[in-house]
Amino acid sequence: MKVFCASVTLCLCVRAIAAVPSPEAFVATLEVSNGSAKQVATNEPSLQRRAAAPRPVFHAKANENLTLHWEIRAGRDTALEDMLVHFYVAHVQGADPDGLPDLAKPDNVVLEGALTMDFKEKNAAQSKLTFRVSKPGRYLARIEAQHKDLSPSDEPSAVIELEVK
Amino acid sequence: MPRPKIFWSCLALLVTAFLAVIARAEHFDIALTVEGDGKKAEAYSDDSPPPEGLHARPVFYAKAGELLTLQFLMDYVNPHDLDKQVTVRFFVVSEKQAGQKEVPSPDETAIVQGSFVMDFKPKSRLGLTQKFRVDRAGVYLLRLESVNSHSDHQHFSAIDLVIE
Repeated sequence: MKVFCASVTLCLCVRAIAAVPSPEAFVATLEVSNGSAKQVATNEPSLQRRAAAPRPVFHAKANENLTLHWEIRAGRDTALEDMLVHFYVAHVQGADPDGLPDLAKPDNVVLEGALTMDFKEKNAAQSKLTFRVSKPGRYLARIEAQHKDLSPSDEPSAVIELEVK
Repeated sequence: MPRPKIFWSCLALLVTAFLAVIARAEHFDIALTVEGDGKKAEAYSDDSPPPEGLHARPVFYAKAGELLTLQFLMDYVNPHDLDKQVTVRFFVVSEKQAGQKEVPSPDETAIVQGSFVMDFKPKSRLGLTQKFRVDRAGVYLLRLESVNSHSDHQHFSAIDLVIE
């Protein structure tokens, strides 16, 4: 009887662990480009490794035509309902390299969007947008996905810094 | 007692109307706005065909070079079906005159354009806010549309921009 109970407990634990997607359960890809150059980023490293991994930087001119292309793709064994995908290009104030833009200030936001979708069986959501940044400065292009079953460090995201001169 | 001919004619008419309503069932609720310099125009869901839809487009007046913000929210309101890998696109392109029936295709001359490919299920949402400027005076069309939702019609929302 003890062996049976232990087996059932083990099975339940394994199933519970398997139900929580790993960071590799999603691939987030972000690309910023103009007519002649592009910068690509994929899933950001975990919070612990982020400081050691510098963000890719794309250099652009004010009012230049730019394209943002992102994709979030589910892994083979991933199944999450009602995932929130959030993306933006926004002005970053301050010199903190880890600083995120204040999206509550409308003046900071060049573009911002979101969608909800079920992710399973390797399906994907993607977008391609043209945009221009009129004021020189430091901007962040970022794609991130959030779900109540994912811890913040497991949420897929990709980021590119945009230096506009 | 046999029913009169008029009864069957009315019934046929009702069934036809019902089927037509089913066939044109709404899949998306759309709210599209453009604003700048304290002014705002709003448009809501329309159906294509016809390409220009069934409702007149609102007109938004602005100055060349003015900072404008477009914003849209699409809600998938079909209560039953899953619609996979639907393309939704939006664009601002030059047109000949406000209210014209012909819908210009977005190309590399578009002031701003974008597309999304995603799965929609009941209550799925898609939204965007984006700043843009139109540098040259003229008449432009801001349009948001589904391109390949699996139905006999597509949904869109549009606003004419008159840039002075």
